Amino acid sequence: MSFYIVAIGGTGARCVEALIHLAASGLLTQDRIQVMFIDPDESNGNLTRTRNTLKQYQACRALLTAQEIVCPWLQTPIESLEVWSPFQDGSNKTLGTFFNYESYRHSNKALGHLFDVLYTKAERNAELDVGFRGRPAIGAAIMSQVRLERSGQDVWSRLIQNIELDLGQGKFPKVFLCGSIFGGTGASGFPTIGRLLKNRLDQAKASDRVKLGGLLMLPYFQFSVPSGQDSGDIYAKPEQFLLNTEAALRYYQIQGIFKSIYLLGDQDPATVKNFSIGKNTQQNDPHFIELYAALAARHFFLNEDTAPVVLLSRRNAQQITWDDVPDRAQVKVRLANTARFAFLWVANVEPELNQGKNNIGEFQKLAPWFSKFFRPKGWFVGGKGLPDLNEDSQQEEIRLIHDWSVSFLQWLGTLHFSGGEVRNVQLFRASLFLERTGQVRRTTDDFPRLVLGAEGLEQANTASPKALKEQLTLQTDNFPGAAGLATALYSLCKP
Amino acid sequence: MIWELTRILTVSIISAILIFLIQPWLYRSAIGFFLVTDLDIEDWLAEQYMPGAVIVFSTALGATILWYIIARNKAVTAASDVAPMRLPWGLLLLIPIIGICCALYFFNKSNDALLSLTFLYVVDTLMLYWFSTAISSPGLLKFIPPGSFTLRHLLRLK
Repeated sequence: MSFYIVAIGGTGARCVEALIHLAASGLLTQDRIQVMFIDPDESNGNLTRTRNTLKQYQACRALLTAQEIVCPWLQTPIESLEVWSPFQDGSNKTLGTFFNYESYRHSNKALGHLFDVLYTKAERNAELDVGFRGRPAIGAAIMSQVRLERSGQDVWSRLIQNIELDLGQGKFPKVFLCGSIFGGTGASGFPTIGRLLKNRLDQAKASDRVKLGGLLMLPYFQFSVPSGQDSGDIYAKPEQFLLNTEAALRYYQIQGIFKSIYLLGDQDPATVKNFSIGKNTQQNDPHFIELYAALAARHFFLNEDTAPVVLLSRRNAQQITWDDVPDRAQVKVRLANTARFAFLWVANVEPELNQGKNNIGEFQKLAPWFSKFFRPKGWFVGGKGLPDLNEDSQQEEIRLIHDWSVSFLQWLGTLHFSGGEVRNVQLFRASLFLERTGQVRRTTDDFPRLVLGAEGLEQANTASPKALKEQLTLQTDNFPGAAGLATALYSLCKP
Repeated sequence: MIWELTRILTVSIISAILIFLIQPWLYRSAIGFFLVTDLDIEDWLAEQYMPGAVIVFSTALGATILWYIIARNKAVTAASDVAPMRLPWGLLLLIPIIGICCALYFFNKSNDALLSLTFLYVVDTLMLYWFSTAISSPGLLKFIPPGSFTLRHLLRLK
């Protein structure tokens, strides 16, 4: 099996960010996932964060694959097909120039007048390198110009080639599109790209072997437009979100593109802190809905038969608990495992290793697990085949695992804070491992209490950092070095 | 835990054999260093050596058990919590040292035996307290006794 995910716009990128974290937790399979991003605003903050998350994931995973370590943690190979933007050639970054408006306004006046009717002057002249400014009408026009068959030099051809390659090998690829329905890029790109892909597969007579799924994010956040913002300017307006959504849903009611479609939204949209038209300032905190988005992608990828419309509900409008999480038994165990490991690494193990590297002879006596993974100092103490803690490669491994762990904890913690005052996200006691400022806490006193509703997780309430590190000292046949230490600790952190 | 307690028990039994059987035999044999001429050897062994040996044995074993209980129950999560535990190990060592002093002061009237007895009591304490804690200290405190890191690696003890 091979999986493809096409993330459209900033919201699509955020969904992929959540999926990467689920994959890191071992909630997907060892089948490869290829990710393609579509965004006219390549410097979009959400997209940048997701790409960084993916890079951290890949770098950390490479540590395990280098030693052929098999572990649920980071088990899924995820590859990026990079970002596709309709403005990749660097020119034509307004609607008018993209369609040569000035040219045919004189040569074909009727067409020029039609263009005038469809788009205001401000819309025609707005710079679109910040995205489609919450205007699906602009985005749809530009996205419709994508020609899959002739874009041989870019990511589209790689996507199509890889799908065809999979088909040639007898695989049954699954392609999943995700984006928002209420903004600009997602709302315009989702149906257009979906239709183009469907047409291409129909031409190749591969529609029955390639399963196309989609996730549409209904409004789940809003923002306040600053009072000084020019109301005549072109930007996403939250008051239009529901109107855009309603109109778009009418289209999907009659479409026949997707085998399965997932719709996710929130009746009490969270208010994001910063208003931004685009670029790197458009970076929103992770939201719990994105966890569901990733779970939807997981559901689509892992299940052979998925319903055309997948339904999910929650028990209590004021809170989200494990009872509201699909496939909760597995999701709870895996997320708890990963959160416990990441927290212990950042708050305890990594600071210890950093202190210990200055005086290994002393540190190895105070941290008995050390000499299982790193070369001890002294006579008759063994350590053949183990790396030195101070080797550059080991320091790099420690840093990579730390960076990944921080990224995971920040994502997991922040989505707990996304419910606002309306409802509580009650999966983990996020405040025990993450400050509101985004800093990971450095005290592990409450480590056994991280997971809410841990009654079903046998070790969660009893396994203290002390007990886990004591078990580390008893490891045999473990892999050496920081990667070996991390995977051993990950296995021990399993509830 | 079971292995650690087994090690303490084994060392204690070996030490008991050493203290209460082998060492008196050395004095009875009157081999060089262990020659006692200023008192009747059987009386000295019965009235002086045995009570002193009991004190040394019990104080060293008591300190070992006390250390094990402290080490087992100490909540440590990081190397910075482990290092200060060298102090209680060192303080507990004072118990058998005081035991040796008491044994020599109150239960030795032989000048001939003073040097050899001091040597044997020190060896007994090393065996019962240092060696015992070095191979059986639990969990993250396993390398707190001096030399335990090398010793445990040499003996390939987990």
